[in-house]
Amino acid sequence: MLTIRDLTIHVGNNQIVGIDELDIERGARLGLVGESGSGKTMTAMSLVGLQHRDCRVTGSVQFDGRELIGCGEKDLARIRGSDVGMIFQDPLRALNPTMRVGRQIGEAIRLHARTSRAQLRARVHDLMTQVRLPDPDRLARCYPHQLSGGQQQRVLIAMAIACDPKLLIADEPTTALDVTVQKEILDLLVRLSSEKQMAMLFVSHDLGVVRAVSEQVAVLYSGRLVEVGPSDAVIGDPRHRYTEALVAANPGLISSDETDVLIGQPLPTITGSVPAPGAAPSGCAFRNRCAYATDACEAVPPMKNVDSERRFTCWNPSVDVKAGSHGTR
Amino acid sequence: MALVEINALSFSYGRAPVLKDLSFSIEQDSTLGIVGESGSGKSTLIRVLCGLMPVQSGIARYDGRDISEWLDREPRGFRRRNQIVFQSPASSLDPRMRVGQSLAEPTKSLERRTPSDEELGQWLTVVGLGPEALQRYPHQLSGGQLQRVAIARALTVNPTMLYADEPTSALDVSIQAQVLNLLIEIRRRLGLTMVIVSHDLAVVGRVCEQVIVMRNGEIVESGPTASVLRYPEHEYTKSLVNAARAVSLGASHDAADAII
Repeated sequence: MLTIRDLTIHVGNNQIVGIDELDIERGARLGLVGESGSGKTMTAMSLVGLQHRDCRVTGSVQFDGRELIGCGEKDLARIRGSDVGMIFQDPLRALNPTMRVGRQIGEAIRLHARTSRAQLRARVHDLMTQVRLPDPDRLARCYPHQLSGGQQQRVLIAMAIACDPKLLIADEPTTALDVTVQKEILDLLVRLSSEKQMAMLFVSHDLGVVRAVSEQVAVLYSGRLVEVGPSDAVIGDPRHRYTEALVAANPGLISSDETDVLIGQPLPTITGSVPAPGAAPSGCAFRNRCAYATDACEAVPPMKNVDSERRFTCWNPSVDVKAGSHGTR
Repeated sequence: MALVEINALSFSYGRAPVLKDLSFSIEQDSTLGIVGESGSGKSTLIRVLCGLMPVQSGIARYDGRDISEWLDREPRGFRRRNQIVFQSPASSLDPRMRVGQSLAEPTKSLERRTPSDEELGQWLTVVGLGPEALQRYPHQLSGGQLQRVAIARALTVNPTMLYADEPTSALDVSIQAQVLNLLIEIRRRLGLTMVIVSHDLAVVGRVCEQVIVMRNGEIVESGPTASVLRYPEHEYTKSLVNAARAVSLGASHDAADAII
């Protein structure tokens, strides 16, 4: 349903993002993972023409058979909020502080559909129930600041699904929330996506969160896809050394017998940080931070297919394709 | 020996009670994690403990002496011994000051002397940055580097207690690991007693030997981290552990379901 081909984003002369190929099937959930500065948000925004004005976007993004790149602002505005819904990291900043939340949800509907006042009110109530907001009639009359962070994010989700989008773009929607609230919101997103056959592009820096939500994961480093495949397979048996390092840096939840031993023990880390735009090394962009880098890495690594669903691009993977696809776990 | 002792401590903002009758102690050289959701009172608690908020009722002692008494008689000595690192490094550093100026502030105000660049550079080395960062402005550094600067600033006055309020929540997972390792390392190297506030059990489970679980201003469970995480007793702790496990890479999803 969403087909990305040769998408590049430039700022000035620096290429920030270069994605050769990425698809999302109807109703499927894809997680886009990367560190700050990897270009994940830029990628998500550029799909619907919301990139910064200094960005130059080329390539092809087909949504339901329509080409979005180069599409006029009027058409894009019609697609955003109706066929493509969006939610962001900080719910309070995405809501109008001076408008009651019921009216804001209603606005999301009115922008794309003509409805009577009574219909609108019923629809707002229905949406608020769908996102499990308690006591919708009372909450609809509240201002955003009177709601908790989790409730604010639910309001935004209600707005995003108001027009039954085919695709929901969620950019770090739970990063600002507590763990327990985060779980509720993730569960809600998964349920809505399954019930409505709504595809989802879930952007996050946290592999654990991505795995809880999406069947597929795409790992982005310095604007390029380094590994793509089913979440469980990629996280359980990473091939690219970057994915491997990201998995290792996650503190996990220690609950096994090792707990006493692990407290106070250092975590494996990735040294350094994501290269600034234009400062990435030639060849594999990760090679200056990679413990396994060799001379070969100075050349651009080819995309290798593990199977029809999985691919990665690394010269010195944890398990190579030819060596068979047995896990290293 | 208990370095910090709390007995029947309560605190309220206006009429809203935030801390309700808390009692516990923190042993010297230990690491304590305080977990709980937004509004549980965990941040208020450590602000009281490090003297940023008054002790309204109950007893709070540091090194055998009332914290209110410390603040009355020897405020600088108390603040020198009790330092804090906040969640957002970007907003806890003055954007118009070079890193060197920010780092010099605690020594200037608490020890009444101006530290040398060499001294400050050494602290930057301790936190894994080079002395060259002294000349930088905050906007020239990344989030992880800023948090390192904030930690270095807390260390410049040789504290005994280091409080950290959600020190890694604003950071990427990969950078979080670096900062957690730094906290583990400086604690070992400098012999600090450390208190980490976090809503993330995984963070606390990696760094802290002891844990306190808070909800609505009360302690619902406490004990050695290993046993609290493995055998949570209180329903709230169980829900926290479950929520953390759902997004954890370390445990399988089956294990998360089994605990309920």
